[in-house]
Amino acid sequence: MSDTLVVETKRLSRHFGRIKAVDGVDLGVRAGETYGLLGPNGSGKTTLIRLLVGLLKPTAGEARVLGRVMPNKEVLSVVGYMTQAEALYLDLTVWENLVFFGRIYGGASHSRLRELLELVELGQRADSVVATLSGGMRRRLSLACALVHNPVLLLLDEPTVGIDPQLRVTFWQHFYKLNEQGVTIIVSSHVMDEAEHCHRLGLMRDGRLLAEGSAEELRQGSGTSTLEEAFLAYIRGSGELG
Amino acid sequence: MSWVRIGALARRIITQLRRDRRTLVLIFLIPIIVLSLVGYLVELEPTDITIGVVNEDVATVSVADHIIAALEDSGDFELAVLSREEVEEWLTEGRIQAALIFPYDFTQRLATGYEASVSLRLEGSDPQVVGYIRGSMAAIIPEALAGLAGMMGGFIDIQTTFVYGGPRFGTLDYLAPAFIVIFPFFFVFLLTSVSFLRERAQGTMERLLASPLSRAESVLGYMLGFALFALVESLVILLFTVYVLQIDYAGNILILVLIVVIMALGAVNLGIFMSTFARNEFQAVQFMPLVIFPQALLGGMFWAVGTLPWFLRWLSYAMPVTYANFAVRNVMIKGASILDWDVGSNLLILVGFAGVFIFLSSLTLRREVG
Repeated sequence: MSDTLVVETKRLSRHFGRIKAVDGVDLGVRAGETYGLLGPNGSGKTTLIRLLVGLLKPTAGEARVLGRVMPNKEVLSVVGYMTQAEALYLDLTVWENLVFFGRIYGGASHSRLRELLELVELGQRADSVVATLSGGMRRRLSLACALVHNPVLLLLDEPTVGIDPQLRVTFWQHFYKLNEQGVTIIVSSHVMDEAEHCHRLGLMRDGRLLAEGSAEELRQGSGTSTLEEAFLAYIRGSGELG
Repeated sequence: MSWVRIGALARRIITQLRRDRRTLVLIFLIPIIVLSLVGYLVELEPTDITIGVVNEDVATVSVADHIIAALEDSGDFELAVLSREEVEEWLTEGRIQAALIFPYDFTQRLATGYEASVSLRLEGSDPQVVGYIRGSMAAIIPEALAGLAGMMGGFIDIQTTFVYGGPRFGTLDYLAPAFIVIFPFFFVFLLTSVSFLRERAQGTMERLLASPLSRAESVLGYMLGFALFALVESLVILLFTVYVLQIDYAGNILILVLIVVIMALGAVNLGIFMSTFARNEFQAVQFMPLVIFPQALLGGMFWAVGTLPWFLRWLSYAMPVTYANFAVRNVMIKGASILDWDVGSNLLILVGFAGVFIFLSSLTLRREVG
């Protein structure tokens, strides 16, 4: 982990009409870090991630990824992005999906794609049409598709929502492994126990970043023993619940 | 069986559909638009037909003059007085749809009890116009003759010749070239709308937007993929019409391929543009008749644009299919080359349409990044 900032936002805001989905967020994510965005549904996590990947333009402020102001197409060749939706072509086979996204990112070698397939344990299903796969298999393929181009930054929007505990463990093992290889990861979740996996956390609520730090720091800073309590304490501290 | 459950289902569907305003409007509007158009068009007789008249009859009291006056009185067409030398040029340029040529001995032969002949030279590329002119002539000429005293025994033979086509050139020969370009156009349009919609619904659009893929690349990729099928489809229609329907074409297949490619480019972009107005595949299917029916009816496929009344003609001129039909008929029926104004100008207009659709689709693709 170094002090180089892979992601940096300044007073980043995005409004939809009168709704301030993201409201003046200052975020800094260091190279090699696993950064968790924690907050309830509707707290602005998805909007923040979509701003970082350039799918939305900020209403105010700016987002920089690898030093470039987003949206920027060039940066995207080293950024991996995975959403809750599977985002796969259901009528193509597992292998065809991988090859397609590989080519979109400039062509990944077949050995690399093979390796990915083994990594997500879909080696036996390479020639299966995606529509015939189970939900868990699709999620694994979706992750593989987000990795075809060896991204240096991985943006994961609630990657473990709705998957069984076993797959969740597997996913986190993958994320650890990637992180060890030097990949910076930003992962959003509304499940507090996932936070323990992250180096640092950002607590989000109503589009704002309430607090930042490691799970331990957040607990200590609020004088609580669990993250849930810490979260509630920070919300009280921000005056939200009086 | 529970009526409560059945009722619940029916009510849910009614509520969902009521909320889907666009589909609702389309459900009621499209049949009315299409039916009023069809109803109007089937009643329609060709208008604006001009007939060239060459009168070489030397008689002082000329039967030819009498027939020409009868033609004029009928109000079925405009007349233009020409010399024999001008006929071919006026016909090929489309300034007249037919020419009627009376020989020098026309009156003399009739007066002496012989059969007189008059030549009817038809431009011939539109069977509807041909049928109309021939029908009118067959009715007006004998009637005019019958009204003349002292000509009771005379008989007029109308000798019909064609510049393009021929007596056996039927409606099918006229329609077939249009089908070659129009089917691929509609097919590509439809599939692009549905594919784009699916990309959005299944989330792959989001993944692609978060990749280095540019707008131009996605449009070109889509176009290449579909153009292949569009060309194969054209080829199948072409071969079917040549070998099964036994239609003779005069034209150059390469120009046809070019027209299909330009149309496919336009269709892909129109599809991308229209897909943004549809929130679901249901609505996309509803857009199909909105884009397809008016163009099929007014694009000169069945009813030649020149024979439509002015207000429908303006609509026709706003549709790409019209120009594709102009171009493809000139190529396939008349054997025109790409350098001919009738082909080249229409191709340029088609390129223009494709440009407009590319602009519209790029606007909608830009909107994806909100």
